[in-house]
Parts: sequence; C-alpha cells; structure tokens
Amino acid sequence: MKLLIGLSVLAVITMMMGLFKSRKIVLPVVVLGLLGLLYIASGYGCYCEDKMFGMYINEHQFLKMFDINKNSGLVGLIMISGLLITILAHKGFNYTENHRADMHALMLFSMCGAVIAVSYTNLLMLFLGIEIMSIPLYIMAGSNKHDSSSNESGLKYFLLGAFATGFLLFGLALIYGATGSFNVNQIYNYTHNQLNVSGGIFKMGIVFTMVGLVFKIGAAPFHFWTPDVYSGAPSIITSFMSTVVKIAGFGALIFFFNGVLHPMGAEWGKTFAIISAATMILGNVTAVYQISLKRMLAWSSVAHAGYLLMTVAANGNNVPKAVVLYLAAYSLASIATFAVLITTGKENFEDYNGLGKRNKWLAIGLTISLLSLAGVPPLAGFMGKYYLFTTVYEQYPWLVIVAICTSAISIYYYLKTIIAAWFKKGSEDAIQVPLSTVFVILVCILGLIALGLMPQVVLDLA
Amino acid sequence: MSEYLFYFLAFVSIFAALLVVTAKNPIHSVLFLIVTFFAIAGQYIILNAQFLAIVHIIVYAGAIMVLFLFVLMLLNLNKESEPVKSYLMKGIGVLAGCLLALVMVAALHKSTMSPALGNPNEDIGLVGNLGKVLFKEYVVPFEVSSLLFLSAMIGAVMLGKRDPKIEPVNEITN
Repeated sequence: MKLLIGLSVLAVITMMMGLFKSRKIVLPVVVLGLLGLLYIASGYGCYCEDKMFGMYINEHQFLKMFDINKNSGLVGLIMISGLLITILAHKGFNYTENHRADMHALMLFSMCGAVIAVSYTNLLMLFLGIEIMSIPLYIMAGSNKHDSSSNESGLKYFLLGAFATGFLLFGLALIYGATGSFNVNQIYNYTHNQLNVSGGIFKMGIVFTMVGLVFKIGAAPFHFWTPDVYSGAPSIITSFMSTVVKIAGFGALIFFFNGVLHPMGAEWGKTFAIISAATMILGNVTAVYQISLKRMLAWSSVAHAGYLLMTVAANGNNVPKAVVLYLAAYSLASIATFAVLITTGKENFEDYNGLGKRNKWLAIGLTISLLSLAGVPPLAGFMGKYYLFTTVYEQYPWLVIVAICTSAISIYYYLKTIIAAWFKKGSEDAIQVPLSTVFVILVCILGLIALGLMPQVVLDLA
Repeated sequence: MSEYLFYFLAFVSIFAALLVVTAKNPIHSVLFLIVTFFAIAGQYIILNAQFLAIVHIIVYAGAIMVLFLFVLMLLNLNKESEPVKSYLMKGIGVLAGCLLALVMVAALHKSTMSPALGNPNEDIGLVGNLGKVLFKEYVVPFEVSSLLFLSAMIGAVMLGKRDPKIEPVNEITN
C-alpha cells in the first residue's frame, strides 16, 4: 500500500512542478522518488499501520481490495522498467518541451494503474487498475500534437480501448451476477464447488473478460490496433507501452485465469492455446515484411504476447516463475532497443545501415538486445524461452513446436537489422549519445547477460 | 402492476435502441437514445434504486447527450462527407451482432443467478445505504478512482492547450 500511495503522491508532486516552470529538476526528482519507492517496496513489503490517518481504513480493508506482495516479482519489474524509461525520457521527451512535467506525471499515474492491475484481489480493482493504466496512455500516445501519426495513434487507441473496456466491464458485471461477489477468493470457491453446474451467465462473463484483457495485451484476434498505435506514438511512449503495460496486462490476465479460474482450466485452456498459436504465427510472419524497425518491433511484441499466452493455456498455479523471467528478459531487451531508436530518431531499416561505424556502442546495444529477443544463448531471452517452453511442453507439445518454428522465423528479421547495422554502408556521421541513454543501455545489456547466465536469481525471487 | 411496467419499459427501451441505429438523421438518433436512457432509468426506479435513476438521467440524458448534440452541430454532417459503407460490411456487422445476441440469450436461458443475489435488501438502492457501502466496504476503490479522474483531467488540459510550434533539438518522431 505504501508503494501505491508513494507513487501517486510522487505523481502529484511531479505534476505541481510543471506549474513552477522547474523543468530541469523534474527528472532527478522522479528518478530519486522511484528509487526510494523501490527501496521501500523491496525492504519491508508493504504493510501499514492498523489505522491510517486516523481513518476507518485498516490493513484488512486494503487486503480485501489488493495485495502487492502477491505478485511482488511483477510489481518489481514494473517499477524497474518504469525507472529505466523515465531516465530515457531525458531525451525521449524532447518533442514536448512544454509538458515535460505533465508527461512524467502521466507516466507515474499509468504505473500506479499497472501496479494495481497485477495485485488486485477484487475485480473492481482489476477494472480500475486497467483504466488508470490506459487513460494516461491514450493521452501520451497522442501527445506529439504536431505529428499527425501520433494524433491518429492516440485517437485510435482511445476509441478501440474504450470499446474493449466496455467488454471487460460487461464481463465483470456478468461474473458478479453469477457469483454474487467481486472478491477473487469467493469467485475461486464458486468455480471450485460448482464445476458441473452450467452457469451460462458466468461463462459469458468469462468470455467478455477474456476479450477485454486479450485486447489490452494485443493478442491475435484483437491485435489490429497494435502496429498502428505502436508505430504512431512517440518512441518513448511506445517503449512504455511494450514493457510496463504488457507486464501489467499479462499479470492481470494470468492471475485472473490461472489463479481465480484455475479449477475451470479444462474449459478455457484450448481457447487460449488457439489464440496463442494464432498470435505467434501472425506476429512473426507479418514482422518479416516490415520496412520500418519500429513497426517490426510492434509486430514482434505481438509475437512475444503469443509466447507468453502459452503459459495461460497451460494453466499453472498463479503466475509461473518462467513468465516473470521471460517478461524481465523481454522488457530489458525492448528498452535497450527503444533507447537506440530514440537516440537516432529514425525508424526505417535503411537508416540503420552502417550504425556500427557511426556509433559502436549503440550498435552493440542494438545487437545484444535483438539477439536476446530472438532467443540466442547465452542471453536472457534464451533462458526465458527455455523455461517457458518446458513449462508448457507437458500439456501442449504441438504449441511448443509452433513456438519453436515461429522463433526460427523471428531470427530472420532480428538478424536483418543486425546485419544492416554492421555490414551495410550508410551515412557516416557520428552520433552523439547522451549519458543518460548510455547508462540505460548499459544496465539493460548487463541485465540481459546476467539473467542469461544466472536465471535462478529471478526464479528464486519471483 | 410493476410487472406490466417492467415489460412496457423494456419494450420502449429496446424499440428506441433499434431506432437509434436505424434512424437516418443523427439528431433523431440522439433523441431516441435519450428515450432509451429514460426507459432504463424507469427500470432502476422499479428496482427501488432512486439514486442510480437520478444519476443516470443527470449524467447520461443531461450531460452526455448535450455533448453529443454539440458535437453533431459542430461536425456539420451532410450526405457528401458521409463515409459510404459497403453492404458486405453492413451484412457482416449485422450477422456478428445477431450471433452474439443468440449466444447471450442461449447462455441466459440455462443459468442461475447467485443465491446471494436472490433476496436482495429492498432498500439497498437508497442514497443512505449506498453511501454506507461506498464509504465503508468500497472506500479503497472509491479513493483510487480519484487517480483516474486526476490523470484524465491532466490529459484534457494538456491536449486542449494550444502549443506554439517548437523546434525540437533533435527530431524524435518521424
């Protein structure tokens, strides 16, 4: 709870700083605040006193709504990714100089939503978390007002996202109608006890909730918005969408299906297996044909959503550790790739020809992160895929075979970028890289290598 | 008595909702939408949920509909600017909608409501009781939702504010 209160207070303070024209100190304040919150979250868990502010609320009241310790691995991942992206924003927010503080505040609000969405114990909080995460995103996606593709992406995301939210809310209402409660424990008991009762309303609710959540993570039948929104939004926002938002969406989805609806696994497992296979195939095959690196990354994020959905189909208990490892590897690699994208400010593959000659370190960062995304040993991406595939193999061998084949396809388009960066001839001007970006890329690369060599660290923590 | 009222209101709301979709003139659509909202508010009153009914009328029929009408006035819709949708798309849309409706009716047909909701407290919809539930049991979501409104407000101000076109140091997008 302290973490959530701290995050929202930090967001409000950041917002106020915009008022006093103190743009220079916004970034250091946000970074220090996030570091402090990480310390609080890691050190003491998130317990608070019986009576807060002398009000009626006590810890029990909070635990009925959400429990941050439940998925602490994912919460930590959200905080670390958010921190890295905030540092990147030093350069990434250059396009909106007047609204730096507002943008930081919106990003922090979005992180609040993400934290709630992975730690809810009440479906009302699931809905609120997803909304608090999404509303700032719609705004941030359209924040580059002078760029029509950014406007388009913001509007498109808003209209489609609002529609998907309608489905989610309707689904939750139907589930309430069938079970009589929003509390996850009571819904779990309902599914556990009434396996043979054909609860039509309940199943309709599950289907609608599935539609809403699958839309948010951008998986197969509801992925149409992903490439347009990801490539239209400013790069820094795209990096936020493809890491923090994806982690939160997955946390919410996996907890809802593998945690709350665990006993009914036989009924929805196959659906997820099919969605997952379709997502992997569509994402990877379409990514091959892209001419823009940013759009390619958007399709590859669709593909990664497909790999992760395999674990939902396999229906392990709560959030499997392999998922945390995979998400960590994916987030670090994505952030490093987007750091390069933000520094060069270019999106097409041609612009990356000869990047190795223009700035060696950028090219190395791009290479390592793309290799990790492709799943080349000994990087973290390989370990993530390995653990993911072994978790799923027993139940859905055919799904793992699809995953391995599509991974092979993905190596083609990742390598294409790397070859362009090292072996093709392009412009020769050197690129200046700001210190903040160097730091982020360095942290990501070291993280990728460390997780690849010692995946047990994350697996034990999660 | 209330049973007849229920069927009457249900009929009115469904009929008006169909007219919303089929009406040629967008102003008529909006007016039928208001009728739909009033019929639904009537259902709330039958269920003894006065607060919900009043809020429904104030927010939907009052605020949101006025907003709709303003947008329609400002958009200056006419036949030329109307995008033409092919019959194929319309057909697919109708088919998909009908299938969804069929599945939902089939699902409702064979299902039971939670026994916890079987005998609801008659007075639960009154303002006092609603307030007690909201500020005791659901105080955390209530407070958390303030984050949602705050961020939406920041966004509205940020997007609505006219910015002078600034030349960024390095072109980021594009």
